[in-house]
Amino acid sequence: MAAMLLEVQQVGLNFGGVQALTDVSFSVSQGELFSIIGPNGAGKTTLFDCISGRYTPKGSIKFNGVELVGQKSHLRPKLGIMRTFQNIALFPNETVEDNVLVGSDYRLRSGLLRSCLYWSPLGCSRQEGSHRAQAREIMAELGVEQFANVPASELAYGTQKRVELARALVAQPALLLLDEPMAGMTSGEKMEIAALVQKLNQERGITVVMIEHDMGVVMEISHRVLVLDFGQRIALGPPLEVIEDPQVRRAYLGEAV
Amino acid sequence: MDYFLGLIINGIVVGSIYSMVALGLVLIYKATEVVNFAQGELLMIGAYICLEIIQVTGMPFLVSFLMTMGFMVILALAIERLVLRRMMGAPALAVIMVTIGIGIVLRAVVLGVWGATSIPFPEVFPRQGIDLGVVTVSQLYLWSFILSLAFMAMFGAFFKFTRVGLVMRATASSRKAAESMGVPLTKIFAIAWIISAVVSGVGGVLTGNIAGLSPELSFYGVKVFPAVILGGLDSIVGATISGVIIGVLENLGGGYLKDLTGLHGLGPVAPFFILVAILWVRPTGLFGRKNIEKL
Amino acid sequence: MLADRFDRIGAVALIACLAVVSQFMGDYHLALLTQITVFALSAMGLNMLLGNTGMISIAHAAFMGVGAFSSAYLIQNLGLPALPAILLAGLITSVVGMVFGLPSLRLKGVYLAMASFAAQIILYWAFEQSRWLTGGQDGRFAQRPVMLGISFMDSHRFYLLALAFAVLGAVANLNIERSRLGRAFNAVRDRSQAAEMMGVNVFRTKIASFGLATFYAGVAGALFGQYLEFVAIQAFSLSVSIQFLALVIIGGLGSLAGSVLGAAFIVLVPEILDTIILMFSHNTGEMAPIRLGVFGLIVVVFLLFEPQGLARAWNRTRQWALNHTGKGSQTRS
Repeated sequence: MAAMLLEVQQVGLNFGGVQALTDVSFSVSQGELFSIIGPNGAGKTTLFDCISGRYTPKGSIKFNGVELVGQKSHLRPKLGIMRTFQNIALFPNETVEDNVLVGSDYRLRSGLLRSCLYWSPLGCSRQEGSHRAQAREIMAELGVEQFANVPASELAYGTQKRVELARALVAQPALLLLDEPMAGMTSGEKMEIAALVQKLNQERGITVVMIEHDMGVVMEISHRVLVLDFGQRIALGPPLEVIEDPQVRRAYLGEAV
Repeated sequence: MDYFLGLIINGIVVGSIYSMVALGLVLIYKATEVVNFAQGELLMIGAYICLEIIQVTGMPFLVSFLMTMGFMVILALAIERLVLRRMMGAPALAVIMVTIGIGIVLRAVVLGVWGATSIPFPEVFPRQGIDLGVVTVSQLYLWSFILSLAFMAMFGAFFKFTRVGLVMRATASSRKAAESMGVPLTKIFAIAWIISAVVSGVGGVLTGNIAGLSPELSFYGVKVFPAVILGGLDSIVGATISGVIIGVLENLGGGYLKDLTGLHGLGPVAPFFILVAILWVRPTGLFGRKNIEKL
Repeated sequence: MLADRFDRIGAVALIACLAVVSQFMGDYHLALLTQITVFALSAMGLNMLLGNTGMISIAHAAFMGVGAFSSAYLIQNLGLPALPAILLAGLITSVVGMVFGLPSLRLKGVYLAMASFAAQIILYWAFEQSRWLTGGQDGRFAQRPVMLGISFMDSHRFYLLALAFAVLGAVANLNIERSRLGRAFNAVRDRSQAAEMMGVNVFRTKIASFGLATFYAGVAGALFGQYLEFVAIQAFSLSVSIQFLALVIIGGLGSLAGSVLGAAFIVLVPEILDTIILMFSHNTGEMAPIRLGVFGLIVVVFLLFEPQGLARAWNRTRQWALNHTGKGSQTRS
């Protein structure tokens, strides 16, 4: 197996007496397409929030050998981790283009002064320009280019999901965390996104960790699947193995299928 | 020693008024997530209305006082119905600003009707001291203290023992929970504003008695901000205790800090230093709950 | 956004027009125009804080005071030349602003409102205490500057100086809005936690916004004092801070046009009101309360019925003009 990109060890998180995650351990190797499934409230999004630094859990989360727990969350994109959100966390009043640009802004070093002097030789106009061109490219790839000047909140749900994906991709992440990227989509749209995720994984070599409820998609495209229930890991392995696991059938599939 | 005790007692009395007004502020916040920046003006207008009723009708203080409360109820309903209800769901910023706007209008009314000069309040409670053994306390102060306590006890009982009171406490934790208990939100909002306006009115009448009437009175209402932040913006117990703490600190500050620092007028400003310090160290205050922002 | 050619030509024409017309104005109208210009400059700062970053400050006037007093002190007591003194006053204000803004990392909405409210009260008290700096209740004189060898003692000349500063402020405002920092401001306003995970250093962004807003306040305060040739602490009271908040809301949050329109509105409406009141009554004592009451009502009415302010009305007019000149280009409201 290839080198481990993400190593989660003994991660636990407690919310005022409620144990949201208990000793969760797993690792994701470079280039893997890894899915996390589990019933609602199993702690999947909480786990993402720990990886992306919203919460500081017990235990250790290593990315490329670097400890993430305790690091400021705004450093994640620089390290190469980007994510999308279950309930969409675009900046609703901003245009699609500005939303996407924020994703790669961590690379710009222009501060106050260079912003003020925009067009002058000292200013940041050239930087901004190439930056914008790159964002346009990715927006075109995801088919949201025609909405570039539309405020994000005015878009349909599925389109917003795509914009979020564009915002994450423009950062050129090594690890992409997708929180239910296909929720609320028609089956046609789902196929498109699934194909896209696979393409990103195979052609660009982006390691993907995906939370998804659509079992069909998960079974089809994932290399390995982690199953969470009540904040605990109950199974981990290739899709076909996991689906046969009696504990999984009881906890999850029994009610969902 | 007597000077020290005097300052403490002064502080407790003024503080108990702060507590009561702070209660109003916390209540509106808990029920509606609005911080009422017009609280000071509500306090001020309560005092002026009471004075006007006494002077125009010549009725005894108690009757005028009750009529003032009635006026405050109507005013609260008007504010809630005409303005705040329409602002439901608006950003915090807009709601803060709208309460500031209401405050400005109320202030303009006071300036227009009664002018900017300060007016003494007719003596309702004698200022003579009563000997309490250890220390002598002005009857005015004693009555103010008793009245504030009585009002706080009344609202305490309302929250503990009435159904609406119970629902209002639930509103703070979850609006859905309140609605599921069959009490419409609009009713809860209206009651929160009524109680808040009434306690402000009482506070205004009491501070008016102590300090006389002037548009400066609204500053007393503003001084409950440090109290509610110290106690925790969503804690009724916190507001009650912190009001007294702020009152005492302010008086001690006014009494001693001038000699210590050589600076004038530190007393009234001291609570705001405390406010900034608390926001630095522990924004949720002594008793407040921690809120996690939703994505 | 002034991205369109239409807007750019319009803006240049307006500035040229102001520069020329102001030179032929009488004292009264020039005074109003100067006040609008200085207020607009100050409001740009507050608007970037409030409209773009979503952070409230009820202490903007106090920060203007810091700028006004420190520039007067730097020029008269320390003998600094006017231009560096004004910029330094802006920086000093900025530092004071950032200190008071520090708790903002963890604060939002009402808490931040209270923190800045406390800042206003503490700064005002500090003005009262610091006679060496402010002259206490008596106030202090401030000179109109000589800058780059040009004297701006004359009111008409001084207006050009104020206009130049306002134009520079506006250009900087627009440039910030279209670059990384501006996007970070908006991201923090819309969803600060998501912004943080997308790589925005929320703390630094908030502090930068505070520093920027108070820098504008400081420079505008310095110019305001010099224009009046006298700085009194009463000019920087809580009610003036509230006026600035109202100005930004009435003008339009997060919009440069809003800052300018709001400033014009807040300066002109009381004047117009006074004229109307004088038609019906000669009791000038009634003016202040009526002015205040109408001001309060306007704030409430705007928030209820036109929460996006005058800027939106302006945008509608602009759209209409665009459609009728046949140069229609795609814009967003």
